[in-house]
Amino acid sequence: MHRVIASCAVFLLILPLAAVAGPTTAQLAARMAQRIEQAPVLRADFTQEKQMAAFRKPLQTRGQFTFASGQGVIWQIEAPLKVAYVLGEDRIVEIGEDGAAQVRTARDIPGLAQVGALLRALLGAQTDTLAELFTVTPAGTLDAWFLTLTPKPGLLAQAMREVRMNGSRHVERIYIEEANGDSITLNFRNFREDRALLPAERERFGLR
Amino acid sequence: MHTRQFAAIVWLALVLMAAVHVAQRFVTTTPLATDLLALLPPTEKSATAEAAVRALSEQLGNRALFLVGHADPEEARRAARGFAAGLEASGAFKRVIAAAPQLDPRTLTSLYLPHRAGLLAPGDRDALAGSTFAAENTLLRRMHQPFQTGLATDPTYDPFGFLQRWLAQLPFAQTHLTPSDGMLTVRDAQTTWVLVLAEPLGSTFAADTQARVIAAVANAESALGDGAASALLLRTGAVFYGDAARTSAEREVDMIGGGSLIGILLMMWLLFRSLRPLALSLVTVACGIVCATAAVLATHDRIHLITLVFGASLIGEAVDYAIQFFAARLDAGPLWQADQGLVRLLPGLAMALATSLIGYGALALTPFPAISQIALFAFTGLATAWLSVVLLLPLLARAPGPHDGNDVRLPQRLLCAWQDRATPRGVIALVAVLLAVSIPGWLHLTTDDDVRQLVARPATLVDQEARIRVLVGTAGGSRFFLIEGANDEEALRREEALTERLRAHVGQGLAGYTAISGFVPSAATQAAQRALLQRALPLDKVAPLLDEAGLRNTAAEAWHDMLADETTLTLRAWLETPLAQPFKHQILPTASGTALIVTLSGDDPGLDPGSLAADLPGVSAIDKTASVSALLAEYRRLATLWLPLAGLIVFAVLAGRYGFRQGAAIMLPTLAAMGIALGLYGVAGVSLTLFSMLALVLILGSGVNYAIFIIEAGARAPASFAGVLVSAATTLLAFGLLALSSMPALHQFGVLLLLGISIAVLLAPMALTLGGTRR
Repeated sequence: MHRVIASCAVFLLILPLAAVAGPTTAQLAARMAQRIEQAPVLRADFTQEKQMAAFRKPLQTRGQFTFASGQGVIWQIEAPLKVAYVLGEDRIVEIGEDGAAQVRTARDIPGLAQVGALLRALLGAQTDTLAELFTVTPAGTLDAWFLTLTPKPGLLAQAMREVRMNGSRHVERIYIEEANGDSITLNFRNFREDRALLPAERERFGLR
Repeated sequence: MHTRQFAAIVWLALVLMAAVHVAQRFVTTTPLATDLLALLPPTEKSATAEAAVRALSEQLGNRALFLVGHADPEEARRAARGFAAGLEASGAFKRVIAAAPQLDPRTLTSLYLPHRAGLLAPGDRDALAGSTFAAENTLLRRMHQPFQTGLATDPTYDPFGFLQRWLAQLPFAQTHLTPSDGMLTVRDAQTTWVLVLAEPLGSTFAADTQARVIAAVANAESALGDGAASALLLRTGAVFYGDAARTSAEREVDMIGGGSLIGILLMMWLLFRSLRPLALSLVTVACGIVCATAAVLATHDRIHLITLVFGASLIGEAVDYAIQFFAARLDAGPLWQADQGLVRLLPGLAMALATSLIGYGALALTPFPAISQIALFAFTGLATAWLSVVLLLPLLARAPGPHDGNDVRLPQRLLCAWQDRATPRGVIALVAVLLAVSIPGWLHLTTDDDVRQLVARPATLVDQEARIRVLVGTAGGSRFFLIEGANDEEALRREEALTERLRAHVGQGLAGYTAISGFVPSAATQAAQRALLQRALPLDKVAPLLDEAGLRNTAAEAWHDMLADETTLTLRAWLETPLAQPFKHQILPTASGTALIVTLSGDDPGLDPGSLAADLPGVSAIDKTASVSALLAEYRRLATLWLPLAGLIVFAVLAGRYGFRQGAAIMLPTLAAMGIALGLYGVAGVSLTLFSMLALVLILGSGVNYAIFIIEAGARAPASFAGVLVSAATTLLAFGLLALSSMPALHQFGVLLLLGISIAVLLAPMALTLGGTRR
């Protein structure tokens, strides 16, 4: 059950474009659908900063991600270690620096199938799935939007206090405040839209 | 004379007392049993195994499970909440649960955190033992991963994520259900399904509970259709099967009882053209039914519906004695003398009763509670109906009837026509040909010992249950492992030996399993794992890693304290926590220690639990379905052996009165009928079951009745022979109606009885050809 919660950090990237209720939402969703249709693949660089009470100083992570409509996400960490996470529909593959892959399927992680479903729902702009988890409050304009996501009561709310995010054509920043006061900030830049996956990426998704 | 009247009055008084007793029982309580489990005898070797079977079936049986579905998830949840509220408001349920269980993560961590040194996920344990555990890399990945698949633990106390991975692999819910917006849901291609659980108030098998539950569900279901687009509903639970069994049994009691009665009245009217024989015959049948019910209620807490259904079909047989009596009266015409008439009839009636009782007596010896109850019912019913004929009718029908037998000469003419043409040699040749034709059928006879013949399961409920199982991902629970140990520790250790094997089969014939040692490893395992951590990751190796990673000093202190703490998590401590609530039925205290149940998810027939459990001490594989089938097979074989023996007993009884030759002549039509019926079964490809074997025993006992009646009276008395035909017709009508029963066991009884007795009746005149009339 609680497994679903965690996977949100990555998926929140595309949340606003599908989950919001109201006229702005509909416009954002339409624009996103259009964007995905034009370029089903999006690549970007990210930096992640975790503020955690257990650590003396913030944890910095950077890398890049590939987001492919209908396939999933490749989350490639470049520093301080090299490790890649491939999130497919029903499995997560963790690939270490030495290339050793650790596959965990929906069978190992019961919540994983739902993560996959959530992912597909996000890409297909199926607002119903996202609204199951959050109450969404939009603000700003179509070209500079802000969203506040409040977890609905339940396990998610026990782990997460609030999510704030903003962007224009793409999501540019996500801030997650956890219930225990720790926080994660994700910044995205250098967006590259593409019509197709690269051969290496296809291989990671298990496609020929 | 006076003794006669006295006996009759005493008898009537006894029957009245029985009637009062029955009425009392039915007024104060509902002594009707619909529990399907009551049909099943104990099959397991040990009492613990039986207790385990009971614990599991109660866990599954005491609640009704619903899935409310709608294409729109929000709509599905709204509908499920409305449905649950409807059930709640009905008052038919003790509890209605629509909300997903809110397991506070803090409960989990506070339970396991103090004992974490001894708790390792299998993957971590293997890596540590094989020295392949990359401590630094694991630490870094844990710190920088973008998400976590599991419950978050504090890095100070769980820097490498051992506890997190332990918690993630706890075998909580081996289902496809996931919480969404506070409710458990599962999605298929078009529909989002939401789970609603309800615990009926009162016994699931009590008729009033069932009626309340069914009404409440129907009400709540109709409310589902009120929305924009109506929501779908799937249901399963013992209460629905129980209700379906009860209503169909009640319908069948009405149909068989009513049908038999109407048929009997019609045929008797044709024969006697007078109300008195009809009314008095019904009195004797009523006496039989009342006494039979009283006998069952005196020896059993409750009377099973299957007994009533079969009992209703018994009317057709119980009325035979009265028919013979009144047929003799009809034949005597104005010369009727009740006492002499009875004296002449008595031996034949006694023979008919004795052979029938031999058949039902054999049934009483089967280990199936419901079947032996049927036998008791039939035994008492026939005997008391017979006694009522013998004790009451001579007094109540002293005067000659208004007619004589001349109105019903047609059957006798047919019989005479048969007699004129049939020769002993011809009759034997006919039997020989009929049996020869049956031989190919015999060679194709198959057997079936499937447990499902005991249970009438309406297809719509079975379909819904199957869909729910696929959606939710649960197993039926009839296959499981039982682990016994002298104490908690031994039971847990033995269970771990089993799960070690099971783990290798997950994904290959086994979808999953739920073992208590998955939540609480044995103390030995906890100690071994703690020792492994102490060896592989001592403080002097871990402390620099933690410091370099940027963790505060408290992390190293916590690591030191963790390795030093030697307390283990005990089964008893775990049982005290709310986590254990859903699994309590898997722990059974026994006389000799502790027993644990390991349940399997997914019912793959390819998996052989027996071979997995072999050579593991204290572990046994239980397969209730297979055990019941094995028992059915064993008793089918016993019945097959008993059949010739019963034949010999019946023959001995017959030979006692009629002599060897005439006795054989009486037996022959019935034996031939059994042979032909079996041949037809083989040709039609119908499998023989225990119940068809029991039906053969009954054919043996009841089929000879008609040959007896014919030999006793047939050729010389037209009404008596017509009476034989009416007797046969009423019996066949009742068994024919029984063949329409939805209860497979009764259906099998009915079909074979109908077939066998029809042929026995058709062939009965040959007894006269071969044996001659009794002088």
